[in-house]
Amino acid sequence: MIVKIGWKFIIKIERLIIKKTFFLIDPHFLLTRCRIFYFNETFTPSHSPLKIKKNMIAKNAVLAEAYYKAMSEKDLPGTAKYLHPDVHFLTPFADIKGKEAVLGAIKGFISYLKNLKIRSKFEFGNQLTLVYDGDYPDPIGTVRTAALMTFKDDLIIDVELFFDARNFEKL
Amino acid sequence: MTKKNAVLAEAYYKAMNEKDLPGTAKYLHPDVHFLTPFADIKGKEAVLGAIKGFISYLRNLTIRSEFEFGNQLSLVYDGDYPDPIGTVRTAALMTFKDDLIIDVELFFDARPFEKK
Repeated sequence: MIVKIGWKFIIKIERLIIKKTFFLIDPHFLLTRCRIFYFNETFTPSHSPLKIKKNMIAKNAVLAEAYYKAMSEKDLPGTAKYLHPDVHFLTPFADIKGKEAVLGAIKGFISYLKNLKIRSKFEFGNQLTLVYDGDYPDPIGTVRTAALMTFKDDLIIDVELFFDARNFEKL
Repeated sequence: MTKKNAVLAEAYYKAMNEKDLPGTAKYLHPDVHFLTPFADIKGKEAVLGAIKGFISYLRNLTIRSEFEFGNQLSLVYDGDYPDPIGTVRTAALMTFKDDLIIDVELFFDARPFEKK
């Protein structure tokens, strides 16, 4: 039912765009509708002019979740496939560029990681913010973390992490 | 409603940037919860006490990114503080209720503040 309602809504939006009245649409509302489609794992309207935008938004969220799932499972090759060759990685500990160097940093990070639980997710355009709790062995414990991610060519080109590095100084 | 939250968040941080504590206060819910690497406090007065200390050091605050969904909003900003602190990259997760901020969760590396 939600799918059908959503589908009709998209059709309506398309018609509005055709009439060049798209400026009347709240872009955020449009994006959130698209996200509802994604979270309900609905179909892709193949002939929709909104397909590219909708898929792009959903794809970034899927990519980010898959990236963190691989990390949570300590799967370094699985993590690697989501990284752009020129990825930039900025954390309180590191400011590095390039896939191999970033993978080196991630390798160290996931060796400590016990679990990673995503709490909130926001996306707009080619960027996405995630809030997650990283669970590490004692004495580190749980580290509240925010990530600002940028995507290019369906790959992660930039990751900026925000957390209190003092937690890791307990080691 | 969502747009209103973004406007409220920006006004809140503008007041903070201008060291305007009463201006900041008017955006806070009486039961606001404030979680940072330094504090986990609840209640408007207690939170204002923490903000007062924070803005006494703050020189400038530049919002870099802003994302919103429903009653939540995430902000990324650079806080500029006097030496030896410098620039502190910060992310904020904010929740709104009744057009007021009911929850603020800040993510930043607290180590630079230990230098002061």
